[in-house]
Amino acid sequence: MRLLALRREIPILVPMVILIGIGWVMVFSTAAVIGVESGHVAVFAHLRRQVLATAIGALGLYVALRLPLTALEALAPRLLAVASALMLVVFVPGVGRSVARATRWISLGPVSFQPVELFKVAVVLMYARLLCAERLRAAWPLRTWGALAALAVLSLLLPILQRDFGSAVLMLALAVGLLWLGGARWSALAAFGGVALAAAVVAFASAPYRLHRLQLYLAGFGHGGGAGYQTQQSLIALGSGGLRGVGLGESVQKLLFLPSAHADFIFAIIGEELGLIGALAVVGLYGLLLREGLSIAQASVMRFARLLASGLTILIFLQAVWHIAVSLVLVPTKGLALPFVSYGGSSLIASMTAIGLILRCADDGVVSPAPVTWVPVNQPGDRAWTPS
Amino acid sequence: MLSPHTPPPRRDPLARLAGGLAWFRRRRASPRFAPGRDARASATTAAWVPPVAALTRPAASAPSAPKSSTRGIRFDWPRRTAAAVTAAARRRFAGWTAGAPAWLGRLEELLPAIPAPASAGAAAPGARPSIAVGLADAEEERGRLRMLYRVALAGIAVVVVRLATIQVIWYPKYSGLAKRQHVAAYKLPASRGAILDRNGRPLAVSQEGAAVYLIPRYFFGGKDPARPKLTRLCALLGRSVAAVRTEAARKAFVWLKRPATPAEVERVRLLCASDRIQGVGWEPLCLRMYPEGRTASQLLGCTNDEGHGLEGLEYGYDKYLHRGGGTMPVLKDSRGRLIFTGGGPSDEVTGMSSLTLTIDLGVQHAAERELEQGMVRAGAKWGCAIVMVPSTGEILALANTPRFFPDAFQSVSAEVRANHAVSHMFEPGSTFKLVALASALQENLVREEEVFDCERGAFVLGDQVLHDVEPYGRLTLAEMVAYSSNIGFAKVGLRLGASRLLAKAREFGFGEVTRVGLPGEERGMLRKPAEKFDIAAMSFGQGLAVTPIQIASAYGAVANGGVLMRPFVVREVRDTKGRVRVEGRPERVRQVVSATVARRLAALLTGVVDYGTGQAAAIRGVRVAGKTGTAQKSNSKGYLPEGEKLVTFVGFLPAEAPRFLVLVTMDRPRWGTAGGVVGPVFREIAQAALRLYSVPAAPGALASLTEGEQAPRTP
Repeated sequence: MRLLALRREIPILVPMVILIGIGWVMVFSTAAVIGVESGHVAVFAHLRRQVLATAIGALGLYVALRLPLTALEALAPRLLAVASALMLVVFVPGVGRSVARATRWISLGPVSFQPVELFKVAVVLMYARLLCAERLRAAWPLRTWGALAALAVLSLLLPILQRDFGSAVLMLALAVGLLWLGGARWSALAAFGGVALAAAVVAFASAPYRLHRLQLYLAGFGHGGGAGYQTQQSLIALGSGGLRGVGLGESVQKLLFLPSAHADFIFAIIGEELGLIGALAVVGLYGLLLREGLSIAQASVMRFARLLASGLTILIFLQAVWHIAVSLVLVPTKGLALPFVSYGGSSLIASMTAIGLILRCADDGVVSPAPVTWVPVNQPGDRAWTPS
Repeated sequence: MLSPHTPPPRRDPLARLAGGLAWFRRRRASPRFAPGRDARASATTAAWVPPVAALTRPAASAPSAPKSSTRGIRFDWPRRTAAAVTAAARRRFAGWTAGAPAWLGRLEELLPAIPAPASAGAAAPGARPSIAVGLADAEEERGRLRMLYRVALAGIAVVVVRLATIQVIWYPKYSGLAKRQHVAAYKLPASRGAILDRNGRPLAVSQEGAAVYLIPRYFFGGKDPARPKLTRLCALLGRSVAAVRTEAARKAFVWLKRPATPAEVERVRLLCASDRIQGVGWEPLCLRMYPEGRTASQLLGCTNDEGHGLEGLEYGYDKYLHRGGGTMPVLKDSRGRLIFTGGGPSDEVTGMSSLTLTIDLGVQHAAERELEQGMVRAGAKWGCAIVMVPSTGEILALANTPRFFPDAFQSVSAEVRANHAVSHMFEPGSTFKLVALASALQENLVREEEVFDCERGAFVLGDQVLHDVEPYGRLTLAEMVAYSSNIGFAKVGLRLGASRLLAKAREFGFGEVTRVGLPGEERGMLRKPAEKFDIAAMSFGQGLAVTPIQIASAYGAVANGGVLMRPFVVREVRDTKGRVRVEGRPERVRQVVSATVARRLAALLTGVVDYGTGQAAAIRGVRVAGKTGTAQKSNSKGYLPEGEKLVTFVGFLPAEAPRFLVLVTMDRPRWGTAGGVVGPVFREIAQAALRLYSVPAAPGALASLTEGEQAPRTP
């Protein structure tokens, strides 16, 4: 057990812990207002929940670190099935909970969570499992493509059902990234992209308000003026922060000017309170996570581990970049949490567990009971392949 | 013995630099992706070497592989040596092999052990892939991962550029927008600064109050269900329900209470919230309070409900005292609720300055008390008293009677509210004889012991006859002053001539405002006398008009060694930050007479109190110099009947080194002469001032006490 030999863990755990710390501070800074506004003077309510979620996330991280990768690979389909089922459970009356037209929550008494966070991790696991059996640049059999396409459709459809378009876009980007990393040919990737584009066109054509929103977004880009209220407020928050920020806790935009300042726009408040310096520090921490995650992926022996580690790293990084890009009005507004920082237990627990899995991948060769196989493609007993 | 060989080549710095560069280039050649990971990778690999080596090349690298490990660890050395050598080699050649990731590194070790395949394509289906194919795949996968990393880095770069653009380049624009939506202008209720006496005791202060109003249509519509509510409301504010109802029957808007204190407003607010009362409101009001009641009422003046001064100092210094319509920047949240973060009003908010006067509340009280009592004794219409410090011009007390309550100024007439000390013009009478006397002494036209014929009380001048109050025969100049002979002074005046008399009057400050700093100050009236009679009349104070403050400052010049000082009331104006906005300083106007003449004049004036008309003003132990004056009152048609007169006594003390100058005037006393009516009042006020400033009666101690007058008295 190399759990205590932290040479590899530290470079990825330290940025994560710092980000979680920033998250605690910023969640308190932004959500205290919401707590007070809720009627009861619940200044610490959000922070308390976030700390509790961190504790559960740490547990998840530890458990993920102890899981055998082979078992994880074997269990991926069942995990996905459970996650997909939970994604549908939100529509069961009495269990599911809607917040502002979007039904995303499972509520069981005092506990409520967003199954989409679990779903994202399960999808990455499934992609890794499907792709690790295939050779790079080879013509993959139809069966694989069928499975991949089914997975892609599932991963897009379920979030869309929940009106969670942010997660859907994320899943699409993840699919493209992982397919490419898994070794899909350019032509296959292009075909995949074409289908996705067609689907997007259909989606926009079917719902005019989406087109309107896109137009709104395009109109506001570059100026930040005349755009939607949220984007304008986000730009004001960031822009008024300047180089050094207005000071920790001094944000005014969080006083209900910026909706959902503790979750979907927490980066804008970081930019306002801590300025360009603080915002760049946060971006840099995600950069560090990305670098360490991918370097673990590169150093892993098992192809499944490599794909899983890179997939989870991309998942976390993409969410972070998307959240930041939304604040910067680089992309249209889609509610996505900033991993480790935004208020939200489900996201925090899922992200910490993902970090645990990434670290688990770093250890694959050591703890794996099987003899080391450096061979990047087929395992003994795998399906035969035809060299091109 | 020198060696014939060339010395061992020394590495010149350039070569060392080149070597260093080469090393650096090799470092750079190592994967940019995971710089600094080489050592770690090699360490990991080193741990890995034994099993891999054992699997793949048992003979080559470990010829004496342990047959049995039972002999203990020392037979393990070949494997350990091989591992160490491999690790060392990897460290040595890290730059060469670092291009490959750690897991690829192991492939390199494997290469010589496994024969290269004949052809990648020739591999049979189902067989293990060739090493070459595996290597190529690994290279491809590594390349794709690296490209992914580069794409992600590009994403970060875009984010960073955009972030810097927004936060640095667009900072002015967005901070402006933020300010526009975050900062609200909070309108400050009108307020006023305090007015304090010279020792900081408050004469006028402001408090925030409110006016509570009622809109009747909320209460008196339909079948009058609001009766109990109105009853409770009226009970709270101390109004009678019937009165409110009668008023409400006529008007659409009724003041329930004006002014109301903040506590009352709070009670009304709570009552309205608990009983759901509608149609009741309040607006902020500036409540002006005068802690000393009627004290110095004419001097202070009064204010209106908007917090503006209407009269007196309140009016004159309204610019500094008033604060209204000012705003204070405060934060607001998205719902427009204001957030007071603790900052005070900004610098732009002017006003609220406090006024510190030269008035001494103790002297003021004494002056008002004595003046009021004297007025009652004499049955006079009004009175006015001024206490001044001759050396500086500071006014210690400025009393007018009858007094009024400034916060209820509407209940008295404008004439009562007038500050007679500066605004009342009257014919000075005998007090003006000072001018002719000073001029004549200065011009050396008369001597103290010179004897004048006072014509037994009737002096024919042209076609008119001058009279004295009592007939006098021959009087010396000193006696003439002491007994106040009009005829004698007419002769002095005639000796002087019109222009010299007029010039001296102007020098003493007559015909011109004293710039005391009080609103409504009059200049008086001074005309060049045309005929002899007019010259004679002017020399004993007829045919011209002056104000009490002019008389006081003119006598102050005599007390101050001939130097006329500007009288002033406002010691300083200090704003809320404590900065002095206006400072009243002793201001020398001009030298009216020489110091010697001033001394001679003072000596002559002591005669008035010692044995002349002003004996009632004498104070035991202190020499008093002064002059009585009785002026016939007149209107546009001419002199009013006998008895319609204005009596004055002005004097200073101690005569040798004057510290106080006191002027007392009373209008239309029913009986008595100037000395008899205002002399005692003068005496009492002067004695109070002496007591309050601890001026000892002993003449010898006086000289040392002339200094330190400017310092405020410590209570």
